[in-house]
Amino acid sequence: MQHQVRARALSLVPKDSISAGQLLCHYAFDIYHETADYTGAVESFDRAIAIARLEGNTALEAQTLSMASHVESDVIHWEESLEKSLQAISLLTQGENPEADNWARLSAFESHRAMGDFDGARRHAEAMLVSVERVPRRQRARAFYANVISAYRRGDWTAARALSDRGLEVGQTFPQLLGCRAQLEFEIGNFEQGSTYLETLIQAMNQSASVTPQPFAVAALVIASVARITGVTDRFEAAGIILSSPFDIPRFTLAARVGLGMMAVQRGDVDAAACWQPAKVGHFC
Amino acid sequence: MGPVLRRRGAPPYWRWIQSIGSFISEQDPDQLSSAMGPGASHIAELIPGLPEKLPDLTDPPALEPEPARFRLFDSVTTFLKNASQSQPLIIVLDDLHWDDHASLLLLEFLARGMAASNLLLVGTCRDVEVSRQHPLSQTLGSLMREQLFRRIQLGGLTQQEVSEFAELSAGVALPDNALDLVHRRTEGNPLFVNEIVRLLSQGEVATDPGWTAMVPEGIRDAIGRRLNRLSSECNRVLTTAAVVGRQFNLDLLEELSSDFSEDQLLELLDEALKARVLEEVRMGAERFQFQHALIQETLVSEISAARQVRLHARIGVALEELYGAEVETHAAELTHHFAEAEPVLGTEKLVRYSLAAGEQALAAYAWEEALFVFDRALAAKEGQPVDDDSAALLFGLGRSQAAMLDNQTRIEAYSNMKSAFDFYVDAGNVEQAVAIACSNTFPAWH
Repeated sequence: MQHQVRARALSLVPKDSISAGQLLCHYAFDIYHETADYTGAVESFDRAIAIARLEGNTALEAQTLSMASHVESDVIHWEESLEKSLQAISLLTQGENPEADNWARLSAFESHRAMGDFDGARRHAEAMLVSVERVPRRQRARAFYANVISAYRRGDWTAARALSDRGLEVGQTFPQLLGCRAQLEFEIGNFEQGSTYLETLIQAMNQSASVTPQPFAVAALVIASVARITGVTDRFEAAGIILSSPFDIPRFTLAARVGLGMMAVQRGDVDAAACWQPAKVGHFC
Repeated sequence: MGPVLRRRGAPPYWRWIQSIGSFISEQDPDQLSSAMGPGASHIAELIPGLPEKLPDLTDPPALEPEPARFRLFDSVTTFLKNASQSQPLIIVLDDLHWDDHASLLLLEFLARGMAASNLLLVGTCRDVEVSRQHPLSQTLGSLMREQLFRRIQLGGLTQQEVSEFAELSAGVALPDNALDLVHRRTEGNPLFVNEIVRLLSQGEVATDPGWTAMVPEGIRDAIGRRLNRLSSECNRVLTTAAVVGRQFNLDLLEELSSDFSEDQLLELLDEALKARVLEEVRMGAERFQFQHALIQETLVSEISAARQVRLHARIGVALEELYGAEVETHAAELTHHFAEAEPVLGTEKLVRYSLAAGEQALAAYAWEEALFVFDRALAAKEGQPVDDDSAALLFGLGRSQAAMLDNQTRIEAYSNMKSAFDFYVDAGNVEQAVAIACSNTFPAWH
């Protein structure tokens, strides 16, 4: 557990030092994702921000806000997430920390999208592409994913496909990209291509989902969604295994509930469908 | 990924360092600056001599490992494309099967970005060396997807071509029956033909009616026979040189051949040069190389493992003395020799130079090389209690693994960095412990 390493390191450094601030920023992120301790994460983020402000260290403040905005989006606090991400973006001078900038913009993209502001979401998605070559591969795939969603949302299939191709070039098994591409191909009638992407997604799920099921929650939702188009439900078992995982993170729990609900509807299981009825439905793909 | 390059002790990107370094040494600084643009500071991380040419360079901004490697590759590609605008450039990459993983990745990147340029890349490899697990296999697969890529399978020379080759290279006109035999035996392999023609050119065809029995069965046999024609002293010196590598410097060979005076050694090298077993390296002063890698390999294969180990030990120690204060900058080369010499010298020097070579590889974004170097040194220390060196190696290994993309490697990275962290905490080394916990490459959940 990484948060334990960070905690031990924290006990070794002066309480209000820059090192403590840097450690707190990472510790907050880890403690939320490893133990679902949202309150502990917020407290640690706040302490890191306080140290950054005390020391006048805007880089640390921006990085902390960026990571905090991501945690807020994980708990579906879209307004808080948007606020923090916009603060981070305003503090980050151009090119100084492309990774933090990209994280913040991803959170801003998701918040805008979830709150129905698709133009706002598109602006941040496009801004992610500006520095896409300067961020790690995984994050690059996320930047393309945001832009695929944006193009898909406005019905520009050509752009969505081109961006999806670029994303899959850097993240061949990135679940969200595979899922979104599969759904796109099925929706526009390219069942053969859609099946190819779906099979690749299921293969990736079989390989990695037992270690890290979270990234596959939204992708498994796609399986349920595709079955609505094709009427074929033979992949429900694979999706069901993922969607029934015990997700601690509300964003993934929500995706799982939507997916399981959709599958129940298609099976005609009214009781199960009612049981999985989510309180609020986000915009997944 | 096999330890292709490490066997030879060259640092990561060695091929590119040599070829780009050689090219820029002949260029005017203004032209260089214009062709490199803002990428010059990134290229300077790769090419040690560049800051001397362009003294106003500043350090590039610190980036995460992968973007940093992207920036380096992009800068090299942009530079070569720009440089090819004023005059077409041909880059010949011989023996790609010996390249390190990072060099091959740079090749792939360059190949993808060279459309609409006056740049031609020509690479050669021995396909028998390239198994499915070999990193070049992946590179070739990637290159196949490029529209500009052409793979040309070189078959053997035809009988007519063998005849012309023999005449042009050694002035030997092979009679029909000899030509037929040589062609069948060699299957037209130019190196093999060359070796046989050299044997034949020394008179057997004309004077010995049983010459056909002298035509060797295989290429190593052919090389062995040519070496047999050299004096035993010359063979001894060549064997030592072969353990150094395909290339070697005269001063090192002098250190290793104390039985011979300088004059005697030069005479023995002349003997090998005359027999075209060796050739002088054009760019380097008093530097020689075996005319073909198989000659070097044949010489090495003829001595026992025990002798190889001792020779590597002597070479490592001699190199340390020769490099003096600059020894750390040659860490990759020294690591190679001290790894081979570990059975007689132990792990101390292997670990010392592995730490330096690994850090240099990390700084050059050659994580695959760094991973190999750190891992090998750790394996050598297996069974020993964890100490400062092991912790530093674990931290290095963890950072190399964290830069990789797959989940499993990142899990291992966490485990290795955690072990190093625990050691530093227990040892009271707070600075190092915090450095690990704050490390950007400490593999975060996301």
